[in-house]
Amino acid sequence: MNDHNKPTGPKGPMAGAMQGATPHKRKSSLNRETQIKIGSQLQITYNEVVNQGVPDRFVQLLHRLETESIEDVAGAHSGEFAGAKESPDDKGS
Amino acid sequence: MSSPNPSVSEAMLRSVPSLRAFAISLCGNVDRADDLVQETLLRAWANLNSFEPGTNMSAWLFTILRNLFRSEYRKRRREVADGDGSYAETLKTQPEQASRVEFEEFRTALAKLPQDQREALVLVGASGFSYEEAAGICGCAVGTIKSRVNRARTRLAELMSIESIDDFGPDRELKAVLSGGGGSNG
Repeated sequence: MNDHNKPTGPKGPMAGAMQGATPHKRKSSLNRETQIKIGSQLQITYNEVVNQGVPDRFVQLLHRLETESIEDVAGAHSGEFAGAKESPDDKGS
Repeated sequence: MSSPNPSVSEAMLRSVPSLRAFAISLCGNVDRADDLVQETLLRAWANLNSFEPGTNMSAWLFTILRNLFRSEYRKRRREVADGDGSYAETLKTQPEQASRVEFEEFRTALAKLPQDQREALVLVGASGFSYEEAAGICGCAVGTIKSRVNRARTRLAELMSIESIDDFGPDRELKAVLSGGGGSNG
């Protein structure tokens, strides 16, 4: 009889979702108009960027990836987020 | 031999506009966002063997982008003031003069949301992912995404002080639904 040790407890994967119940006195659900307003403003904001299309640098990047080796391309393009390049910057605090 | 099917790069290019929009919502800065997208494409290309053909390429790229941002964000967390409203400045073009103020207010409010709430809201409310896909991208349970989206909406409404619209009653709500939320009547 080993089936008594179920790991489900307050730390289960749904624990975060349970915290959704707000202890506030406010109305727990937004009215329809507010939801529509937030939704449409979010989409307009997002689509402003989407409608800019594909900037040329990305067309060129993918073209290079198709024709050159990944090492060459990655070496040339090392942005702020580049993780391939190691640069030990810690000179102590 | 290492050059994959050209349709792969086409699929990647098709995802770029929405990847940028998501990245800007995370970074609050267009230049950093574009660097993040670029790094995402490089990582994706280098790891194409881990992409399962037939699955959603866009969701896969979003996952990579989010993970890259998360690891970078943790590093620079101390130096960057989060949610200072810089997102509002990143988008120069305004839809209409009349609603300009309203949109700036919205973007400022969006930038003030906690990170996980903002990404959940953007993924579900703007990128068009299902709750399940968003949960996959964020590496959490579906219920967690739902909860974050709800909290994001509530918080946005508070920040924008539009919950006071409740006072106008059901007539106004009905009108908004019928007009699609943005009609202009003279």
